[in-house]
Amino acid sequence: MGSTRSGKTAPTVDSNPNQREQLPKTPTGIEGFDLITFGGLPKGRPSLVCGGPGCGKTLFALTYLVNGATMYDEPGVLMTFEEKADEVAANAASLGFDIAGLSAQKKIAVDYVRVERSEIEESGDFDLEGLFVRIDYAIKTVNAKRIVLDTLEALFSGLKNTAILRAELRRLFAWLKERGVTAVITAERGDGQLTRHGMEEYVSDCVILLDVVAYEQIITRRLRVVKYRGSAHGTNEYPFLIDDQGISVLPITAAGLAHKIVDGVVSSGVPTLDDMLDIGGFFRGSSVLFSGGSGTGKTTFASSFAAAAAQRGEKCLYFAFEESPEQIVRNMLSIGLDLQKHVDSGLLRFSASRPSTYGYEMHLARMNRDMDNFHPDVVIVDPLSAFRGSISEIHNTLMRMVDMLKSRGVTAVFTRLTSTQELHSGMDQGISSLIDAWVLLADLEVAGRRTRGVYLMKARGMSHSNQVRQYVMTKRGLRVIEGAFEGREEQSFPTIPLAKASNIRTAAKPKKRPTASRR
Amino acid sequence: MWMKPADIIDLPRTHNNAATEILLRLYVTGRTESAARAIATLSTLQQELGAHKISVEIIDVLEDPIAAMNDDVYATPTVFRIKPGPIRRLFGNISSPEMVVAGLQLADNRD
Repeated sequence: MGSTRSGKTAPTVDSNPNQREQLPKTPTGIEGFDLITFGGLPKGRPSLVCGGPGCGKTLFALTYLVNGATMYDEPGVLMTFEEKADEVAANAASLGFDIAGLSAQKKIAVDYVRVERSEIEESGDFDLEGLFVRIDYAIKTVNAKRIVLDTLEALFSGLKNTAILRAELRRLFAWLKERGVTAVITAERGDGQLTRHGMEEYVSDCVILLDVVAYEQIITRRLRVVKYRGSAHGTNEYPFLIDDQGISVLPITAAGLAHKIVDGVVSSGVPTLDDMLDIGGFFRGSSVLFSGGSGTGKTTFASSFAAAAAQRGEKCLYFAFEESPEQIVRNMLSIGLDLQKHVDSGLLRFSASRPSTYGYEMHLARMNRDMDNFHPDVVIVDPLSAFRGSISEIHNTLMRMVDMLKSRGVTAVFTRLTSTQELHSGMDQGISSLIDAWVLLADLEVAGRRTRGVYLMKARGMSHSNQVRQYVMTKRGLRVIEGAFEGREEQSFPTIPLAKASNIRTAAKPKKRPTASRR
Repeated sequence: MWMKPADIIDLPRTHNNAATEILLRLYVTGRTESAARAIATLSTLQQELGAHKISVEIIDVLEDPIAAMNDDVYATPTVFRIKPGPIRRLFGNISSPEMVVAGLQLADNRD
C-alpha cells in the first residue's frame, strides 16, 4: 500500500482558479451564499440541497426561486412533492414571499405532486413521462430559468420499483440540464450518506449541506458547500440565519486581516475625552472599548459616540444587548443627549436582542445582515460582556466580530463590564489584542468621596495622555476634567487603573535583586 | 376542460360517461407501445363487461398537461378508477384486464 502511495505523483493543483474559464453562475440572492460560492449555483445545472428535517432546505430553495423572480428577472417553477400548494404559499408568506402574487404575474409556477401510497397500485414498467410533461408545461408557462424540486425523494416512498425510478431520475436530471434550467433539488439527510436515497449520485455538480445544531438550548444553523464541480468555493461550515427577513449566510472566513484602512479621525462625542488623544479623537475604522464597573457610564460614553456620529451626518447602528432602545433613549435624556431625533432622522438605528436568544454564530450572522442593510459608519455593541461562555469561544466570536467590522471600515465601539477580579484574568488580555483603543472607566474613592476616573489603557498609533482624569455627567453631557487628579496616587486610586499600575511597579522593583545576588 | 376525450384512438364508448357504473380514466404519453398496450387492455375489459357498465376516457398527457396536473399524474401509463369512489390509481405495465380489475378493485362490480 505504502509503495503505491509513494509511487503516485502528486496531483497537480490548479493554482489560480481565475485563470480557468469561469463557470457561469446563477445568483441565489441569498446574502453570503453567493459570496462563498463566488457567484451562486452552477448555471443550467442541478444542485442538491440536503439536510435533516427542519434545517431550512425548503426555505433555501424557495428563497432562491423568489429572488430569481423578483431580483434577477428569472421566472421559476416550484414542483413540490410534500406540501400542498397553498401550504407552500403560507410557509413562504412567513418569510414575506408572495407566491400567489408572483404566480398571478406569471413569474412563478407552482405544481403540487402528491404521492399517496395508499391509493397506488403499481405493476411492472412505467415511466415518469407524466412528471416530465408537467414540468415542461410549467416551465413553458412562465418561461422559467429556475426550478425547484422539493422533495423529489417523496417519490421513493410512493413508488415500489426503485430501479425504474432511479433510471427515470437520471433521465430527468439529464433532461433538465438539456433544457438549461438551473435546478435546486432538496433531499433528506440519510444515515452514513448525504441523502437517504443517494440523490448525490445523480446531482453531483453542486451539493450543499444544511445542518442545525442545538447547544445549550440555543439553535445554530450551519451551511456547507460539500462539492462544487468546476468551481472554487469556501469549504467551511458557515452559520446561517432564518428569520422574518429570509435567509442570510455569514461568510466568516471571508474576513481577514486585509482590512481597508480608512483615514480620518472621529470624535467620541466628548470633546474633553478627545483632548486626551493627541490626534483629537479616535481613528476612523478602529475599534474602541469602554470598560469599567457597573454605573461607570459605559453606555453613556457609547451613546455620546453614537450621537456624535449622527451629528456628523454619519449612520450609526447600535446593537443593544442589555437595555431596550427606549430605555437607552430615555436615560440619555438625563444628560441632555437627545438620541430620539437621530432615530427619527434615520441616522441612528437600534437593534436590540437578548444575548441568549441566539448562539454566537447567529448573533454574528444577524449583525452582518443588519450591517448589510444599513451600511453604518459607526457600530456600537453594548455590552460585549452580555455574551457568556468559555473564554475561547467568546474570544473567537469577538475576533470575527472585529474582523467583520474592520473589513467594512466601520468604527466600532464596544462596552464591557469589568469586575476587579476579572481584570487579571485571561479574558481582558484576549480582548486587548483585538482592540485599538481602550478606555478604562473606574469608580474611585478620593478623599472620602466617590468620583469617576477615566484612563486610556491603550491607543494604537497615537500618543495619548497618561493621566487618570476625573469625569462628570452633567445635564449637558459628559465632561472630562482636564489635568490629573490631585493628591497622592497610591492612596487615591486603589481600584482598577492603579491596581495595574502598582503591579507594574512591584514587578519592576525585583529587577534590582539579581544584581544584588550576583555580588 | 380537462374532460377532453382522446380522439386519437377508436374505442367503444357510451354516450354519457356519467351513466355507467364504472368510469376509468387512462393517461398515456403519446403513442408509445405501452400506451397502445394499455388502451388495448382497457378496450378488452370494456368488451368483457359491456359498454353499458364501464366507460373509459383516454387522455394524452402531451396534449393536455393541465388535466395531468389536476389528476396529479406523474407516471404513465396510469389508469384511474374515477367511479365508483374513492379514486384509485394503477400505473405501469397495464397488459391484462385481470390486472386492472385487481389493481383498481373493480371485482365487486363484475357480474
